[in-house]
Amino acid sequence: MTSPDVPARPSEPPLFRRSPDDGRPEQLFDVHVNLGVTDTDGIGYGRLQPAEYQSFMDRSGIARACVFPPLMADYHTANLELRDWALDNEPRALVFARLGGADGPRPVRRFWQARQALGARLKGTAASVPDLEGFAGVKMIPHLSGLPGDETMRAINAAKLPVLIHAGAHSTPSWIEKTVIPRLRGPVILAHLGAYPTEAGLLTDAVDLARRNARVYLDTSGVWVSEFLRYAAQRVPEKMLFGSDAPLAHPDVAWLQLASAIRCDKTLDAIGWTNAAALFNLPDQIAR
Amino acid sequence: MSTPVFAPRSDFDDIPLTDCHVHIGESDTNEIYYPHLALDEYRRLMADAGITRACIFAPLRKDGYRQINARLRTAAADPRRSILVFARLASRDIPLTEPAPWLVRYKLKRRLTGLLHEQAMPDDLIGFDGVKLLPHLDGCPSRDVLAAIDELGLPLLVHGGDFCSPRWIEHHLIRHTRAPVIIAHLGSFPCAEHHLKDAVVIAARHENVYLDTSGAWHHEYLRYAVQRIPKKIIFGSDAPLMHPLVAWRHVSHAVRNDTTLERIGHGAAGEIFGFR
Repeated sequence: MTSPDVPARPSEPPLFRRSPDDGRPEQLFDVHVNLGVTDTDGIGYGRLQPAEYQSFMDRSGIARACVFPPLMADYHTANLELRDWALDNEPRALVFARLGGADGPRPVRRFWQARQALGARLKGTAASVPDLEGFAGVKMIPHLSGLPGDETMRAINAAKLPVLIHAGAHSTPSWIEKTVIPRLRGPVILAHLGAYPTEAGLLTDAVDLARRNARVYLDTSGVWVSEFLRYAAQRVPEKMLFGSDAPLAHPDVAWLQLASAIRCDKTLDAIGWTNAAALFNLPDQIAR
Repeated sequence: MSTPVFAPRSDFDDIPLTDCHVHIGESDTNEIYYPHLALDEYRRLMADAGITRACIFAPLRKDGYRQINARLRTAAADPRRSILVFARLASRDIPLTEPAPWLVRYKLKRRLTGLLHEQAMPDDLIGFDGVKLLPHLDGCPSRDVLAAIDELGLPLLVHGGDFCSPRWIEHHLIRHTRAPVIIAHLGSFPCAEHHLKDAVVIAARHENVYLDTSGAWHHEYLRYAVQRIPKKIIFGSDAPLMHPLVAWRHVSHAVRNDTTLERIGHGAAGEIFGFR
């Protein structure tokens, strides 16, 4: 039955891929995975054991994944434990050191952020430069854990590590551009297309930034508005990287969200594997 | 090994589903949120996703809903009732749901330009299967309209989350109707944990209150609600924000109990809308 009375879009292609299970690349690179158990009491923060995610890697065709501890008050021990776990158990995992800072500037002046900053200052966390040996990158969430100090930033640059940074309402792309990117020399991946949780204005800023700055990439994690994915894929497909944000979503579901919204197989291949493989100097195809 | 977080499965792709949250037609807001999902395309997605019934309504619009409501009602006419059309209502009164400066400005602007805006009337409900409200952007219906909704027994689907909290919904809407009230997004849009907790308590407190899964993107939010009020959860995709099959997989990966999953997929909707 047709529906002539509802405004149709005859000249435009359909929005969705009808069967999102189709169009899956042979291998996926998931650049955004929280592994381990948070010490916060927030419902939304991670409690995914590494072994459970490892079982998804086989079933879901995830050939590489960037993994890091979930939100915690202090990351030192969790970083080292995750690094050692990967060394012993999972060569496909690229472990990112999650770092914060006691003195990090807070991008948005809200009461709860001031409370977080004060807590970090009183605890004196991350006062020393962390050992970055054996890590493949660094993860930051500035509005909750603060920013590392200058010495740590220099250590990140010396180790030539990419940085994955939460980006959205409380750590905006423009704030990251002004405050963080000038202090780093390597690639910077803005998580959540820069738009967490659903900020269209920040999405456009992030896409613009990725277009202007060769070092800036965008990950698709936590992007549940299909049109946001299409917007970015039409403008900067070579800068997009697949991320699941597990355990906020199962990686299969996160991939389906992407595959349903983007109907071009070539673009999906690039986002699912090729772009990240180039960023991390991996070959186009690798044996699992 | 500790209890797994996920319950991955595909064996529940084939059960008949009711999708209670679908935006059809064109938004005039120019927001990236709402691309134009045509009814014909959604019908094809229904077939692919195993959806046998859906509640559809217009996306956010600035110029009112009377026209598009009527067009949707005509286009979706179907004796099998596979498409239930909800009337989306606008009002000149924007409620001050939270003391946010932008909301105060928005309310004042709407008041100053009041005559230019549509004001929903009881007659606007005739021929519809339910009502969709987004009070902090569309306005809150008058007492007359709320009384008519109650009298007609029309299910009410209300956006829930920041700027339209479950507590506000309980105080201003739930107390005015005996008909089913579905709080969208588990009451937590976009990811407000305190609203999620309130929504679960409110759904447990009122026999006629349900929560829909649309836009509840945190896996753990779904698990939290399903563990506490399994009989009060109803599936919604929020299309075109998400493909309905993807939205269903998100739910099915979070729920281990088969009976609960079937109830979320179609059982609760049958109870609300009176079909089997």
